Amino acid sequence: MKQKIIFKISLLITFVLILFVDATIKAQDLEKIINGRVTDKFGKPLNGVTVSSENKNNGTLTNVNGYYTININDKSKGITFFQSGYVLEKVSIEGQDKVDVKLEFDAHANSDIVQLGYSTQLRSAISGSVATVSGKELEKSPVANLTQTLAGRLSGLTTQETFSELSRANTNLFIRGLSAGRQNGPLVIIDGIPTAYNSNQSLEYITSNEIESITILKDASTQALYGIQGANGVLVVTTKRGKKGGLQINGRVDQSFNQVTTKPTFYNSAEYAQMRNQAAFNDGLGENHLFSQAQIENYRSGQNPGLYPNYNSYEMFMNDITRMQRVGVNVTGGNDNVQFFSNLNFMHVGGQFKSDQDRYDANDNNTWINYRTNVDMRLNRNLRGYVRLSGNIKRERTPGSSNADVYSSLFSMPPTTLGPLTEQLLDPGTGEVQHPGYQVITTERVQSPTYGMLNRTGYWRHTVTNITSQFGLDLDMNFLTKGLSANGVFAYQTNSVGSLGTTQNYERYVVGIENDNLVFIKKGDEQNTPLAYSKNHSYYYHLTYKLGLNYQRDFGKHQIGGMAYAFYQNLTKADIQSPGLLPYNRLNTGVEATYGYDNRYLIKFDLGYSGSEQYARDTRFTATPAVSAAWVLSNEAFLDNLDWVSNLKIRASYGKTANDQSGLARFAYYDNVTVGRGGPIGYHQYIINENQIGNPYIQAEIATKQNYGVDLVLMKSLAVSLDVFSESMKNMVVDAGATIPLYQGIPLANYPQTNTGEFKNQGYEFTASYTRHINANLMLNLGGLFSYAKNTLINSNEPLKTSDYSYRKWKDGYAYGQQFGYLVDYSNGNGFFNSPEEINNSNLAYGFGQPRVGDLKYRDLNGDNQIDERDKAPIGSGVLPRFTYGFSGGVTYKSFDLSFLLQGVGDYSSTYSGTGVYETSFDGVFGDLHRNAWTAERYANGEEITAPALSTLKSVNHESNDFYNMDRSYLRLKNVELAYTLPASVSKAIAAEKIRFILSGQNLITWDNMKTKDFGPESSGYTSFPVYRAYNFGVNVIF
Amino acid sequence: MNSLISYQNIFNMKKINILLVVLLTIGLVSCQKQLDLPSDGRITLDQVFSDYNRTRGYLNSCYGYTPKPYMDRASFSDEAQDAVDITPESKYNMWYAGNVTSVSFSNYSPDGSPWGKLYEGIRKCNVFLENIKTATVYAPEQEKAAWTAQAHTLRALYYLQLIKRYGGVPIIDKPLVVNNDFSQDKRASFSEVVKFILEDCDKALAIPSNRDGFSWQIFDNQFGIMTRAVAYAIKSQAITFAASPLWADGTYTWEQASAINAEALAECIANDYKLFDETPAADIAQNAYALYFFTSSNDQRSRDKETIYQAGDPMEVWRSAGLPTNPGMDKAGPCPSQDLVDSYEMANGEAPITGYADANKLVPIINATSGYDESDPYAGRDPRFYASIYYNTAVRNLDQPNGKRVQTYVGGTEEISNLNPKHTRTGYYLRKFNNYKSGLNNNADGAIRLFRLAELYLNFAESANQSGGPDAPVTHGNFFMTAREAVNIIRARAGMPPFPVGMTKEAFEAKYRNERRIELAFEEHRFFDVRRWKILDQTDKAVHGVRITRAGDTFSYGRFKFPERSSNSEKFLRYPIDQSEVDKMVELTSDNWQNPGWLD
Repeated sequence: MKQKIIFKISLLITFVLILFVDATIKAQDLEKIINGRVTDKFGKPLNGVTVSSENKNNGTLTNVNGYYTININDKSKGITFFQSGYVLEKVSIEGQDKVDVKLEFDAHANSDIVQLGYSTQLRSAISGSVATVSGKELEKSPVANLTQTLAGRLSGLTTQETFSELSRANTNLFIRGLSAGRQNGPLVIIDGIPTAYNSNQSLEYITSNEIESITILKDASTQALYGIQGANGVLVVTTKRGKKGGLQINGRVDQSFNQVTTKPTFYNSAEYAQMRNQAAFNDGLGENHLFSQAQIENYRSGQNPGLYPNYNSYEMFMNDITRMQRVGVNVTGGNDNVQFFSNLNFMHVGGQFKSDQDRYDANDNNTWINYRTNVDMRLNRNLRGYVRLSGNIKRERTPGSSNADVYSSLFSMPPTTLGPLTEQLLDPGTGEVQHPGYQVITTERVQSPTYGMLNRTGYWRHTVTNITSQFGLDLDMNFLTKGLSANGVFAYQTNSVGSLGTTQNYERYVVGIENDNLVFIKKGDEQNTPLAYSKNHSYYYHLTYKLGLNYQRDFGKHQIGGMAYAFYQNLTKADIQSPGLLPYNRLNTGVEATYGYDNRYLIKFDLGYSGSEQYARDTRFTATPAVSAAWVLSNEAFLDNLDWVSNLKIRASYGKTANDQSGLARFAYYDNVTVGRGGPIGYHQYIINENQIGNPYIQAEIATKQNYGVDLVLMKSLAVSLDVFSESMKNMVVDAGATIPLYQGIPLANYPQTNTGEFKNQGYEFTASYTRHINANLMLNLGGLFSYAKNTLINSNEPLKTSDYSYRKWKDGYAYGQQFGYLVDYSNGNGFFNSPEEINNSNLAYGFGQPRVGDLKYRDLNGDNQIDERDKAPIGSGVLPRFTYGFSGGVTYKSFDLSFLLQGVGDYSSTYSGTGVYETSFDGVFGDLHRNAWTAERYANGEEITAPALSTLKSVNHESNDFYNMDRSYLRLKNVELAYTLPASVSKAIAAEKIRFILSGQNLITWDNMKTKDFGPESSGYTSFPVYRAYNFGVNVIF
Repeated sequence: MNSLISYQNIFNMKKINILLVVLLTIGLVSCQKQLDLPSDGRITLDQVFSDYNRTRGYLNSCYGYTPKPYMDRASFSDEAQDAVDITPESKYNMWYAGNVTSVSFSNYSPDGSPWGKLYEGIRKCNVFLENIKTATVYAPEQEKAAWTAQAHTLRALYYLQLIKRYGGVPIIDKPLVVNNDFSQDKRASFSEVVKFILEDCDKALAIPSNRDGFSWQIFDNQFGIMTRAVAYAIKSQAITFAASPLWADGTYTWEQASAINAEALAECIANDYKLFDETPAADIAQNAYALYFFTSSNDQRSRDKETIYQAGDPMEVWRSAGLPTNPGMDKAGPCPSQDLVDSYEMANGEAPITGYADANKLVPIINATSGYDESDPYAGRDPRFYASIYYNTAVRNLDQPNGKRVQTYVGGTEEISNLNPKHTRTGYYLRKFNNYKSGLNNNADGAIRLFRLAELYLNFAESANQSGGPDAPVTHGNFFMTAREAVNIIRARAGMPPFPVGMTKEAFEAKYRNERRIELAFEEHRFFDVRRWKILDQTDKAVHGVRITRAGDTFSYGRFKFPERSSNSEKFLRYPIDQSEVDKMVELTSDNWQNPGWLD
């Protein structure tokens, strides 16, 4: 196969070369020069308008003052003017040499070309459901990672910032929520090539200033072409390409300051000691069980910090501000034969910890360079070629333990810890050194304290290099029939991570007090070791071949388009063990046909036919047909004279799309029995390993999707869109384990999965935007988007629980990831057992320990006076927020422009647990909630109670229950940008075209309903990096 | 005109479409191959049973599913309180607090939830037994028969492990097809499973005992293989459990148990099994009993002729139940309880303590005739006490009798602690299985035997006493023994005087149970014994420790009680079946398979 493809490509190249010879640029046709000026309706010059000859071979851009000069030599009889957001203007040039135009603003941007991955469509011709954002918009967010810029900017996109470590932040993206019972993100297509592996990481390698646009494909008609890769939606990233016109250099420098949005509570040592005592008291261990009153007084007075310290790891090891610097340069230009776009970015971020190791620096530090060059060439009259190269090099230094581990360790050491280092101890009699000092202090329950992780474990240096390249050819086949073209592209992505480890270990000591003297007791058998070097390496690559045919032609009022492609992808993942190391191969093909009549009736057919190595021959390929249609009512005669309706279109689509990322083991259709050497009894010499049992019928999951939408533009300034969708998957891959008992003897992990599950997802999206050019100096815009998606796991083969369960199913019938737990009985007003009598009178026996006074009173849902599994009820809303929304707006006044973005989610709650929520971790870790934990006194005084009675051990409160369920909806001032452009006269002084100063901020304010202030609504808990707030100052200079 | 153009174009389109279809077809056909799995070493089951080495390989894969006995289980019984109970989330805490459900059980039990793993082993045996009948492999019939015997014995062993924990379980004796119908399955009764176990063992034992058959011997490189002794030991334990109060349903009487136990014991004795009685050098171990537990069993049985089957690996007692003065140790682990210490008799065979004067068991009733001195409680005890327990003032390094002594008193180097998991919680440390020379880079500690001959003596004594009293002889062929004689053999090896003559059945039972507790301490027996005797609610209420304070050269001993345990209720007599498994069976059979008390 590979050979065949190579053969085909060589054939194509030969063909191309022949054409080359034929086409040694012929004597130029007669040249014509046109110049003029482009302005908006107020006469304000428009910069960067694309001026192009009708036959598309000649083109240029307007300059800052709106002037252009174009040389026409391709026999065109007209030229077009276009800038995104304005109506494309066509002007005849016959007998003219000066053409001035005024571009009309278009609220619906109907003349924009929408990138659909393998194809493009004019926005006016869209019949499916898509959402688009421009790179310019994304540039407003001063963040390191592209995925962090998308929240609130695309309707139908749910974002979850799951990990916020500055240099490795990760935001999970979901298009219209979930399509099946697992958390799959969309297929990412970058410049026409699917990135089927580590796609979130691939997005990290792109900077927003090299992006032309990002489009998400939301319905079957746009996803069907992608076959087994389409069902989770498609995210199409298109990078900038060179434009015909003069050389332009666009530089930008930014300095940002990052600060955490939330900071967990830290108590001082006296408060901590009291709370620990309170916990021990609640456990029946008596007053002052852990700390005597005198000790607490000593902690409070702080007069003898040598014995009674007040240890605050956060202040000791964390910097309040982390700096980030970014420099980016775009160079673009071109003429009629070659256009290029080049981009280079440098970024540095680091230093969030305070470390004091002077022999090496283990503090986090990241430098990152990424670059991109897109070159488009016209090789001869019929042939165009392009080369796209991009790459990045990231050097990352972390402490020997990872940044995330260091951060989460901040909370483990109690405030009463002495430390972080031991002091030298001398024998009072002889003066002999009993303990050398400078050793790391820990506690019995803490394995690795922050000091040791940061200063005594060495460091890692990771070098990540990622190279992507594409070589493509477009052949105009007008010689066969007009409007036909063929294209071929070869793409390669390789990612390599080399990690140099320079690590060491260190001794740990626990502090003891003997006869009022300090002693340090060595813990464990760790030794102080010198730095030891090690190296890891991981590597993966993608190899993609794609061939395609395009056809596009208008016949009067008929517009006919067609497209066909075949694509082969060969992927090697980073796994180094079989079967993960075996290559992943996919073959996708598809055809698309569009027909439009008079810009009124639009219809589009799509068919994907795709397969992968995951399935047996008989079920390998999956067909995914889809159809969509639109009716542009505003182009009908009966609406033509309604002035206030500038655009009205209704859309509908129906079809199938599929998914092959269903968590299957590799080659799930095959049995896996192998023979090896060894085994329990040496004498038998060999051993048979029985692994997976195959399901020869396993196939891709198919989702059937419907979408209905309407687009409306009123008064040429208010654009409104509404989409309603419904998706259903009837052959979801589910584990057999749910119904197969263990005693049949095959480990359930080896039991074949089947296509017997069912999943449903429904929702709607609403967007509105209002843009008003009030005069040449003042422009206003306001926008809002609102998305809702609710999924239901209809069937995952879950067995029915016995009838004494209050809920007999815990998965089927609920949203994916539905949590279950106990409901707190608030009938007594506060939900706690406030007295021993209340416990007795409740007649409740807990199946998981004895409730104490101050513990949560759970509801006995099945009425058997027993609180156990059978009383658990659904809590929370599943893994994803159902509502996502955003509001944005901006004002441009003369040289100033101001924009803002508010973004939020709703209908989302889940229960929290673990360190800082439960108070028992390590030597007791208390969060914000525990300050007002239940005590008899607090209850008697009628004070607010925010946690059950503290405990030193796991108590009945530490079960999944709705007390710890928190509303995770929030509204966030995601982004604000204020910019000032220097007057042209000033810029000219340094030969610049434009100088712009920018102040911006990210995640500035968050409004939420969390029960605790210790962590934010996107956080997974107390000990994970919180979302960062960024303040940024930048300068943008265009030459 | 217009139509002509479009006609031409449509014609061209057609050509293109044809071209396209042809291209796609060629592409797809050639690509099927590219998307197929390259050969990666997979074989089918048929290929297994046609080859000599692979068939043996399959038999080999049937081994290794027995839960390995580990000292940790002592912490789940009245033998010990675990030092890690200071850690909030530890399984010991959860267990003592009764904070265990049929969902969370596998996180908090001594050996997780072995149901699935044991049935994996059973399935492998079933596959082997089913396929070997028709296997095309070329091998001598006798060798095939020997393989079959091993598989039968293994299957019996796995079922025994299951019923000890769960009670009756479904009997699966054939490999099941992937789409098997489970709807008619039922949990068999305990005695039905015992019947099946006995049959499996008998089928194995029917194979001749020569070298190529089902042998008594363990030849080179065969360590861990199934032998005749294992089959007999399985029978002995299975029948003893079946006749015990928790499981007896009238199917098996103590008489039947006596007969089977007599047979097992007699056959083993007749085939070169005997109690380990090597007298150790004084600087290695105190007595043969002490030496045995850190002596490795091996494939030639050259030195250790007591061990019938060792499933576990050598433990690291020094690390996981060690003395805090031993560098590199992790934790004090299971700390022997005062209750266990109290149960060691005096060397003269008298019980030091006959009971307690108070409900909290803090005031012992001292047996005046025993010679027990409350101010010197560790003097003159059963030699097995010194072999099994590190107590305050115990000699640590046997090669330096006047050297280092263990200090568990408050302020001592191994002092008792409520806060530090490296220090004892009870005032005692575990010594059994521990070679005092063990430490970093030198583990010389021993393993727990799954079966050893002493258990067969004790099983026999128990059933013989129950069926006919202490002095009624039971015969098997030429073999002839009474319950008392059997116990006395055990005691003689330990250096303890015999049980007195003329005891009543009840008196014998009480003293026997104490003897079994001592002899098999920390070997995972106590946990199951108190359950099958149905005395869990008495034994596991709470355990005790001793806080020793020192004033000059005198020690005072303050007994104290740990918080009462909630892990002694009826439901703790059996393991729960994983709730998810129970849910599936409810769906499939409409029957609730859960054990009593666990969400039944």
